[in-house]
This record gives sequence, structure tokens and C-alpha cells, in this order.
Amino acid sequence: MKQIIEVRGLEKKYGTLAALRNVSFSVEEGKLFALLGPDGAGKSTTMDILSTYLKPDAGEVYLAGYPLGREDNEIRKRIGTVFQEGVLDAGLTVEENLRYRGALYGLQGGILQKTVKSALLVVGLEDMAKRRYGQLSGGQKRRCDIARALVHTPQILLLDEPTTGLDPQSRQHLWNTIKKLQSLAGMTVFVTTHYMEEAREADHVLVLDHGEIVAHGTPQELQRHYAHDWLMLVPKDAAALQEKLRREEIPFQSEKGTVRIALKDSMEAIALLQRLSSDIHSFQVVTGTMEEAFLAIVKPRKEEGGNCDKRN
Amino acid sequence: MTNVINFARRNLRVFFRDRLTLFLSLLGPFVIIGLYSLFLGNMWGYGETAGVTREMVDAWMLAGMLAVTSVTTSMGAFGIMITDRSRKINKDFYCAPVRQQDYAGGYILSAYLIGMILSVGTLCLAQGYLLIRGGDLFSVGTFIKVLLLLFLVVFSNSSLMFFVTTFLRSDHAFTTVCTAIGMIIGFLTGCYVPIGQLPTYAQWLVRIFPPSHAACLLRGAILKPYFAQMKLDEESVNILKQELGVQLSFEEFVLAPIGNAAVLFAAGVLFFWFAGRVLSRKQR
Repeated sequence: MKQIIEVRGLEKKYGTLAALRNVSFSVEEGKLFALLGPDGAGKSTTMDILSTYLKPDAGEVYLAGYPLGREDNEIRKRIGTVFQEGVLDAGLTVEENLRYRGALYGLQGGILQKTVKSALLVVGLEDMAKRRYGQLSGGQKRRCDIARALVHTPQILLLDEPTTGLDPQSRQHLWNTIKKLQSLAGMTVFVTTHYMEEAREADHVLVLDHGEIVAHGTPQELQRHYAHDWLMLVPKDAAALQEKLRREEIPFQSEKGTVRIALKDSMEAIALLQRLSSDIHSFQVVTGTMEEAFLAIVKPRKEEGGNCDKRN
Repeated sequence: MTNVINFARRNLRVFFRDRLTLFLSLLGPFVIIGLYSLFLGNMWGYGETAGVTREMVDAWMLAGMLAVTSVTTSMGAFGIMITDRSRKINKDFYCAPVRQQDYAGGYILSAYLIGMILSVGTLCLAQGYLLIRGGDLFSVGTFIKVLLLLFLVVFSNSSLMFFVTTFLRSDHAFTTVCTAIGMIIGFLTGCYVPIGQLPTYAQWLVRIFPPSHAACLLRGAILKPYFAQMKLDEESVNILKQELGVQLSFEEFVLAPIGNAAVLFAAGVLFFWFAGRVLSRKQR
């Protein structure tokens, strides 16, 4: 498979603060790639660089085969960016916005009209074409932003925290649109998010923290590596069970009358349950979540650094 | 060039959609016409200076108002540039395959067109106002002359406003400056009170303010028929012209209309160049 985004040794500083430190990754053509990280991790900086808005201090970036910084206009023709802040004109209608922005890519006349129409169709806003952008709901605005990014039929779609501030229903709708674009149009989608459950939708996840890559892999890999499965027990006598676990040197956590034991894999639960069956009322095996994996990757580093608040 | 035109078209649409900006950029002229109808118009002693009729004073006021309109409307048009910057809309433009100069060109072209459209609109309204108050139609010659003058006037004044707006970062700062300019510009161009009745230092402020030269030229064109009808000797007419700001004089030296035009053109080029310098310094 062709690598449509290639980033090597990317560095960016704001004054003395390093926003990105030696970031390297690549994105396969046609894949959905998620850049995950807490606020201030460097996601938006990465996005601003990929969208050709911001110049990196060091590193090499290739988008659709063109080197960033040397052939930016070739790149710009091939990428569509959805910025975190809505960047369309509130006073203009959805259609006018798309037409004026489409014209920046040299589209005009019947072709422009056609691409505007199909972009609206993809995001499901064809009925809103005559509505002013400023009058749309948050979810509709976001979809309109995506339509704007699609108006020149790019190969790569960059989305910077597209679901922030949306209600769960709009978020779902938006993700369906994104996945539809990827699967039907074969578009490469690069998305930043701080929602773990969204990263789960991606083919590949890169976790960024303090400007550095701290983990990467498929969502399943990350989950396996960083999240535990848990055995939850409801004891007959809490004190007795805890005493027994301590005696047998099995590490556990107790909360609200239940006992949690971390498992290396869920099969381990069978042996444990056999040993403890006389002490418990009931049990449950809970699989680790992306949320946990994310917290496990990012949290220890936050505590080490201790300057996370200052960065935000 | 296609990019410049396309971008200017977007700016025009954005400007005329936003009623508040439109109102704000017409505030200056509104203030003048309002103050005139209510107070200032009555303070003139018609007939005292032989031949100064109420109609002539109306025309004098409207000529000044026209000059002010060209300033405030082009300023309002550059407000789009500020909003694009403060709302980060310019990020989207930056990431499209269009050169930065084309965007700057688009802002300038749209400001110029907006200045022209609204100034010509004001000229038509001024004619209506004169007719309602019992005055005459402008002659075709006067109308064409004013129209031609507006090309230069709007160029010079929009260039000045381009320069001013390069320093403004936020919508708030822009609105404040816009309102302030709308209020004081009537004084600076000698529209509220004729220059001859201002104290000496204020007269100097008026003389060195480029839009005053625009007002001067427009008054000259619009008031010409009225002066022609006056039964005064040439010297008295010249004194009256200086009193009303139809001619600007520097001590003994009286600036001819071609001089006013030269000042406007030079100011236009100069402020344009300054604005370009400021913008390119910011980009670095």
C-alpha cells in the first residue's frame, strides 16, 4: 500500500515550549488514521503543519507525494481541511460559502455547481443549501465545514477535532459520514480527537502527549497492550476475601463492596474463580476499554511532567 | 486575476449581507445629515453673505457628506479583513492554492468597489434630498464630473483606510475605530462647521487631512453653478470659497483643484505603500 502521508522528524517550538518533538509516522492511502492525545499534546500543531498553515522548525513531510514547504500549492489542491474553528462566512448561505471557497481551487461554472451539490449530498445537507451558515446547528455547521473541505474532491481529508462540542447524536452522524467517505470514496482520512471511543473507529491510532509519540498501533493492539481485563467479584464477606487475596499475594482493588482483580488475559479468570468460588456471591469479567488504554498511556507521563496545566 | 475577482466577489457579498457593518460604515454620513436637518442647517444666516441660499448650503453639506461616505464605507469594507483575521477564517484561505497577494488584492478591490457603489448611491440620495427641499437636478456635466472625481477620491480614501486597518487586530478594536472615525470625520473634513469658522490650529488639521481635499474637490464641482449665479466680485467669491472649504489655502498660497487632486493621488499611493510595508512585515 502507498504511504500518502509521510512525516519524519517533525519539530515545532513556540518560543521555548516544544510543541512537537521528533514526530515521525506515515499514513497508508485510503485508511482512517486517528491522532489521539490530551489537550495541549500537539494535535492541532500537527494538523496546522499538515494543512500547510504552519511551517515546521525541522523535519520532512510528504503529502500525496509532494514535499511540504516546497510544493505547497500542489499539496493544497489535494487536501481538504476541517479546522477546529468554523471558518465559513456566517452571513452567507451554505451554497454560497461552498461556491466561493470552491472558486479558490479554480472551479467554476457547471463543474463548480456539480461539486458543490455532490459535497452537500455526501454530508446530507442538500436541503440546507439556501440556509445561512450562521443559522445552522452545531452539527450541521460541522457537516457544512466537511462539505467545504470536500468541494475540490481532495485525496486526503484532514479533520481537527471535528466532534468537539457536538451532542452524541450529531457525533454519531458525523462519524458515519466520515466512514462513508473513507469506504466509498477511498479517501484517506486523518483525524485528531481526544475521545477514545472515536479513536476506536480508526484503522490506526497514534497517541501524542507533550509533543511526542507515546504509542501507536491498531485500536485492538493498543487495547491489548495498555488496557487490562478485570475480574469483578461481589464477596460474601469482604474482609475475609481481601484477607485471602493478601495471603495468596494476588493484587486487587476494592471499591463499594466489590473487589477488582487485574487480569493478564480473560482466561486467567477461570483459575482464579475456582480458587475463590466459596467466597463470592457473583462475578463479572470486564474487558479493558480504549479509555483505559489511553489513560494508561498518557496518565503516568502527566504525573512525571507535572507541568500539564501550564501548557494548556 | 481570476482569484482576485472571485475573492472580491465573496467580500462584496459578505459586506452587503451584514446590515450592522453596512450601517456602521454609513454612520458618518448619517450623523452629518442628521445634525444638519436638526441643528446646523439653521445656524447659517442666509442672505447675510450675499447670495448664499439655503439650497447652496444644502449642496455644500451634501458634497462634504459624499467625501465622508467614501472614507467610512471603504473603512467598513476593510472590516471584512479584520473579521477574517479575528475569526481565523483566513486560515482557510491560506490553505487554498491561492497567493497571499491575490487575497490582499481582493480585499482592496472589494473595498474600492464598495466605496464606489455606496458613494454613487449617496450621490443619488443627495440629489433626492436636494429635490425634496425644493432644489434643482444636477446638470449632466456636474454629475459626470462628480462621478469622475469619485474614482480618485475613493482610491485615495480607501488606501488611507487600508493603512489604518492594517493596525487593527480585533473586531472590537475595529468597531471602536470605525465609530470614532464616523463621529470625528465631519470635523476633520470641515463638514459640520465650515473651515473658515474653525480656530487656526483646527484649520491646519483639516488642511493636512487628505479626505478634506476630496471634500474640497467635490464641493467645487457641486457648488460651481451656485457660485456662477452669485453677484459678487471675484475676490469676495474667493474669500467665500476659502471660508466654505471649496478652496484650501496654506497661508498666502491657494491650492488649485489640480493641487487637491495631486494631494489625493499622492496620499493614495503613499498610504498604499505604507500598508503594504506593514503587512509584509507582519508576515515575516
